[in-house]
Amino acid sequence: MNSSFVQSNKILICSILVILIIGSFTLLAYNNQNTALQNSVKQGMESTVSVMATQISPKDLAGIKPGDEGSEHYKAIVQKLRTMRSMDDALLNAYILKVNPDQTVTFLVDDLYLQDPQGSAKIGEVSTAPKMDILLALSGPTTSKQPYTTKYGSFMTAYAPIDDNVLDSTGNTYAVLAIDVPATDYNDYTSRGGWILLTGLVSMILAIGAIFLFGRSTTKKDE
Amino acid sequence: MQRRFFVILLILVLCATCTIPVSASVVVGDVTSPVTEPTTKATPEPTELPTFVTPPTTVPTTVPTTVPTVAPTTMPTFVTQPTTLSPTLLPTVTITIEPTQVGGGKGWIDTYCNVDGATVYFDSVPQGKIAGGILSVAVSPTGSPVKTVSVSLSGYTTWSGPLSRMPESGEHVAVYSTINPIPTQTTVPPIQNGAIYVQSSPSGAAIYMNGNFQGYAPMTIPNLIPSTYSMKASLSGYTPDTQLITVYSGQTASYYPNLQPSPPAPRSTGTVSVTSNPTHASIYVDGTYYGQAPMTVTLYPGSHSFRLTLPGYNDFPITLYVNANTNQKLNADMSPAVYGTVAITSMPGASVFMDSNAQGQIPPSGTLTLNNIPNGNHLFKVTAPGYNEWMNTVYIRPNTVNSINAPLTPINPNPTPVPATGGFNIVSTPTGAEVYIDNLFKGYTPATLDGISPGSHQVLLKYTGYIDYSTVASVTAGQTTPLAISMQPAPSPTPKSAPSILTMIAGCTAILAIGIATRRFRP
Repeated sequence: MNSSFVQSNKILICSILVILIIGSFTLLAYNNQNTALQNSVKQGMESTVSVMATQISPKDLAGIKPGDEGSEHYKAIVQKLRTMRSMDDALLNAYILKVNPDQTVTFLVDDLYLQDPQGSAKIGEVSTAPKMDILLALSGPTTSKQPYTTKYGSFMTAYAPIDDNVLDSTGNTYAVLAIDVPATDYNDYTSRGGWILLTGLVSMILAIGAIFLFGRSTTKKDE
Repeated sequence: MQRRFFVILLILVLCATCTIPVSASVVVGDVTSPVTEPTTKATPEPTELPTFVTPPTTVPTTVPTTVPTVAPTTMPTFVTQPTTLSPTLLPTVTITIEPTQVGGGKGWIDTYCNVDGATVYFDSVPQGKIAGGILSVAVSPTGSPVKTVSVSLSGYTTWSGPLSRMPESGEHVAVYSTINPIPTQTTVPPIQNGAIYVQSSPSGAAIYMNGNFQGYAPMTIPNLIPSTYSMKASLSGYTPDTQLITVYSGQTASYYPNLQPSPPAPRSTGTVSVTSNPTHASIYVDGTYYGQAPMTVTLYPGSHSFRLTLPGYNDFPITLYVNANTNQKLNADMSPAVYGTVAITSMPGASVFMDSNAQGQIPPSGTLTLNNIPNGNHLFKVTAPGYNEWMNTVYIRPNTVNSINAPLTPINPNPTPVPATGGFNIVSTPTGAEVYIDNLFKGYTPATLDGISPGSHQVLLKYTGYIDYSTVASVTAGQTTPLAISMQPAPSPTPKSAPSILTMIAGCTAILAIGIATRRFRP
């Protein structure tokens, strides 16, 4: 009876150790996988928005003022953004933001204007997206640190500066181009490590099963 | 047996509790919580915050308006606080004055004040201090009259006023005084601007603040409103550094970018800064449209043919040899176009188009004359119902009648279908990628490819160090399909390898645990 009790305790301790070790490694692998996926998605978005930003000329944006939504000039810029954005079905929206001298961030162009004039952002409308990400985009391509929500929905956004590209330019930034991916899509892209959890769980069950089998056989021999 | 059952049950519960939190994190944990390292560094909090001194806000300034000066018909045995005094500003403590004898030949000057401890002076002679809001001083009605009563206290204004009259015997004359705190000289300091000190490593980096060039490091950017600023340090041959720097009032924030050498460019390039007079001339390099002047064009080393066009002006063609890592300047002085005349001969009634613009119909004479046509290449098209269209590019010489013969042929009842073609306009990041259409090499990006048959085509981009990009794109006849492609760098840290190694480690650990358990249980 005492021997059986000791054997059970040993099996219990071994099983707990196996659970802790395999569980830790599984969690580590899962987190690494998610980090890699998130970085990959963010890098892809940054590359896309960077290429798109090179196709926008600040000269086309210079004269835009609130109320110009219906003008042919504005529509031409919107159409250009739409054409580029339509290259990738994952992109939900492309728009241009202006960081004003008082550091407020306002919309300049929204490529949803043609298909939804009422629901699109107006010229001069203040953006409520995380401001620090947009400020950082004045210096180079960047993405939101994580999905965020505004009155237009939940998004993951990539930003890139639109260079003034004037001759002998010192590389000043005129505006910021942004592209949105729905937050749900981003979550789907970056949460595909389920097989790691499954592998960890199966490993645990197999290891514990083996411990029990060997333990039972040794107990029988003892008896 | 029961014990073993409980042990198994306990382990299964442990398994479940170990995996459930991990599964839960799949849904929310890893997305909402930032798992990546933040790219920005927070600037240190200020060690001292500015202090703001607030002056006192409540100042008793009102004086009771009702003064009980009517002499009592009977001698009072004690004095009570007048009930009409302002309850909020004057003390409400009622003090009792010693009873006085009737007919003692004394009167009283009752000095009321809003601050206890203030000294009361009669003609500059101190009489005592205010206590409980009042000081009652006995005076002789027949003595030398008091002319002036003043009340003072350190830190307060001094009140002074004449005494209306001396009290009669047994009478009280009230004097009401109000003293106010002397406002301290502390002033609220104005919000001070801050500054950012920049020192790059190596020094000499171009510094940008909120996307605008400021100068070269080391430098100090003064007069900044307290806020957060987007800083960038850029130096040729080094990877740019970007940070958010917070400036606090009256302090100098630091920005010390440590620039890392950037990997060598896959292929060196040169640049050509193109300007035109007048501006906004369209720039074509090797037949590809790049944009409007002024702009800087980045090209691979070698010979490149430039052509600048502007309506109303002659084309400006030139061939430049671009050297690696150099910048050349090209200033195109566009000369106004010289006009010529065109005489098109074709079937009467046929429609004539020049550069896709309708010009009219061939008159019965069979020749249509067009005047003031800018010299240069123009696309002419002549169409008539039932006839094949005639289309050709003709160079119009200035100051000359340029004759064009455009014969129209009837449409063949069984014509051999000649499919119209379209094209691709492909740009990529990085540029210079090899372009393959249906596995046939077509050139390097950026590229404009014409003569592509309508329909779907396999587009493949290859670039050393990047993952091949392949997609299927459609071409419509007569249209150019734009493609903006960003290529992904070939993954050096393969995300898949890490989990595999970890899984192997986990498996090995499990096998080790089994082995240990087996040895333990062996008799």
